[in-house]
Amino acid sequence: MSRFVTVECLLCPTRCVLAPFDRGACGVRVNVDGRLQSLVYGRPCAVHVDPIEKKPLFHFMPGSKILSLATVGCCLECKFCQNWQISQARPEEARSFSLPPDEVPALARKRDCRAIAYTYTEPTVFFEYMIDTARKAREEGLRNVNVTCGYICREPLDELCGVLDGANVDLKAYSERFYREVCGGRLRPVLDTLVRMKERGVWLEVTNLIVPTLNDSDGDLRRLCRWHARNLGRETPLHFSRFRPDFRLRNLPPTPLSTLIRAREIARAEGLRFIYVGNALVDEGGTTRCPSCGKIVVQRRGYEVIELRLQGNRCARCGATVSGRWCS
Amino acid sequence: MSSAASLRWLSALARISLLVFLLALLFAVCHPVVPVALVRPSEADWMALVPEARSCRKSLVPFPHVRLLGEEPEQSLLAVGACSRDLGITVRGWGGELTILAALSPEGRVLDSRIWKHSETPEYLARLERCRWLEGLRGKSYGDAFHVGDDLDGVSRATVTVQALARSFRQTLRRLAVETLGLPPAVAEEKGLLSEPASGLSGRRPLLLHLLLLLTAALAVRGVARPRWPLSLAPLLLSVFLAWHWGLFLSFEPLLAWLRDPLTWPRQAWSSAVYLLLFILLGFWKGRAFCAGVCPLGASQDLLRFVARPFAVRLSIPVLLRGGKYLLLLLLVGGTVAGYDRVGRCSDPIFHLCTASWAPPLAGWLLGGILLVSAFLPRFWCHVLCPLGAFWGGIAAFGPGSSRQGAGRCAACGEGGALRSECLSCSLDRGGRTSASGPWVHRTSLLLFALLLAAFLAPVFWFGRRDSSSGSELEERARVFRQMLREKGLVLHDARYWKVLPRSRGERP
Repeated sequence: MSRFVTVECLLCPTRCVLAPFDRGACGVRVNVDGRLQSLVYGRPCAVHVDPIEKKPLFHFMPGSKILSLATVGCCLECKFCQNWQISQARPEEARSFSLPPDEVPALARKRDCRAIAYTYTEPTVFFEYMIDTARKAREEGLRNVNVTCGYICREPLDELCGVLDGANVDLKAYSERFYREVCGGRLRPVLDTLVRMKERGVWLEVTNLIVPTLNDSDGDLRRLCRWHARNLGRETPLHFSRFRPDFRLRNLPPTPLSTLIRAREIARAEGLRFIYVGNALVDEGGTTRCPSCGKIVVQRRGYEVIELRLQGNRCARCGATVSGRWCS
Repeated sequence: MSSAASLRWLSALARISLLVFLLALLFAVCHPVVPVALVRPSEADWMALVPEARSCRKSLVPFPHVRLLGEEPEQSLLAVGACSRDLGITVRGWGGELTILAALSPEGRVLDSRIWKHSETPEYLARLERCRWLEGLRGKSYGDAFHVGDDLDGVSRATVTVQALARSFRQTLRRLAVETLGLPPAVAEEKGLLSEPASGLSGRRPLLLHLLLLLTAALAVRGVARPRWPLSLAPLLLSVFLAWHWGLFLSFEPLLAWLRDPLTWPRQAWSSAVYLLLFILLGFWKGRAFCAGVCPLGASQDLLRFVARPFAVRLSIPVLLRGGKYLLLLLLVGGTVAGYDRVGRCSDPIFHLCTASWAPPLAGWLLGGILLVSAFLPRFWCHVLCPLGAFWGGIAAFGPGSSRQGAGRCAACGEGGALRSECLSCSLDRGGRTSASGPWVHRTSLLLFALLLAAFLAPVFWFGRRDSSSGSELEERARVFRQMLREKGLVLHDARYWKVLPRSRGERP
């Protein structure tokens, strides 16, 4: 076969068609000698230990630490990206270091982490590294968490679900136009990913970043919450996250607290049981209440869990089941 | 209009078109039409970089730069300075191309620097100013790595811009130091890293290829003067080779590239510039020898005429129609000066067929059409449409003996052969003698040429070099890519979830 052939990447719905030595929209997958190659395998640019609440995952091993990995690259180009220095960079532009999949579980143990998160940028772009690491982590008894925009094709997603325990998916808006104009992607594949993850039994939490004037109208929020309740269930947590001006949306103000509170009210009205507000100090923004008796079962301050009133996955007071993966 | 009047008109048009080209070139020198409009830094700008300097001398060798001198009478050299754009260093920041000025002391240390042109969000540059990032460059040696994070501070939220700037400084300073101050090369030379891959016209070529091209030119002259088949075949063989690998002078593009950027193009594509000068001299001396002996499109037309001779009806091209190529030349020159940088792409279909920068079927149909017409109207493309031929014609019109109009009629060129600017066989140079079969047309030559052409074009159709770039461009991209991998310590790993596309879907979406 000729060295100079065109290939199509089937990893994310962008499905980049790559001439020889072209890179995909993610900047990390390149057509070399007629084969698609990854430039970031085993080369994370960020490795940190975070509280799991930072992902945010509020119903998954609360209060635990999680080893977080990221390489450069992203398949979307959201104008509000908060990590654009690495998500929009190319592998040769950011500093990275070698961390083969074999060494990640040992590092996690050393740092007292019981799970590994693929996060910060879009983990889909380092799919091969993520899968290999996740398998090693599974063998070592560690959990895997994916913090993603959900922009991934069906086949790789199915393979990924086989090794994932939890995921936080960004549902940036319930609007094709928003995805097209602000994120450079499409909404439908993200909705498909959410539904598929739920079907495959991955613990799922959804985050929605509310950007003033772009996706903060009552109609936008109501449509999103309604779809969430119908397709993912009322028990699936929804996090409303506060926007702060960054990257290419520096012209907009931070999301007003009143908008976040209004979003929470709309979500409640649509029947969602677990609604959180992040990146902002809002009363009970990070508090989990029992859906049955209404008492507080998990109280958080920032990313810190200060009170946990659960016995297994049941409310310590009324014994009702609170959905989540509470035990490690 | 009488025939003599038409010839006079045609001759005048040839001269006018060349004069217009020269005027356009002069205009371009004063107002360079380059993709990023660049107002050149003035003396005051340079003096502001090095306040101790008392005078500033501009130099064009080996690339445009300035030498900043101290007080008289010693006028010692205080610094050399250059603008990255003049070195052909195009580095993209977040918003677009970045151009910098840098002044280097004779010892190779940075005296001062400045961002000259940019397309960045002002806020990013304001961040740089707030933390005085550029001042951090002062005192650094040209051989330093300029690595953000080690040698240079990173600037939060202006990462891409800062890294692009570091790259631009690294490349500019190293070339300044080595090529103007004669300092030894830095240990790890950066060659075109992350910049646009060199085009087929500007890459470095082995010496052997230059010798081959010189041989081509010599044999072209020889072959035109004495049309014996071994002599006339050699230029053709080489010209096909050159068309394949260089695209050199087979399209009008190099001339327009010269117009677009008259100061930096000859330095960037110096081999093209040298041969352009060579062929211009040849044009003055031998008329349109290039068209007669080197151009493979011309040879292809002669070949078809030769093959189809028993069936073809011989028609002559009206003299006035020959003015079309001059008008096309004027149009292209005007378009280029006005800032349209793609106007030259239509000037030679065979070049585009070889390099596949057009869709091959389109270029193939166009080439087929030209060849078919040339079976009836000899050298139709060369006489009526070819802007490159018009350029050589304009040069020939100023050459020695060009006033001897009507001295003879060339069998290959028809009536236009009476003009030196139109004659493709240089019959006037041979004292008005005409050749029965055209300038170099010899059956053996033509048959061998046909075989060779088929051998070169076969891969286009059967093996599909139809990806967006030509083979040589791809090789260049491959080289730059692998060099980047080495220098950045990146490792490739097989990705999953992809497929090879059938060739018909070779274009990018």
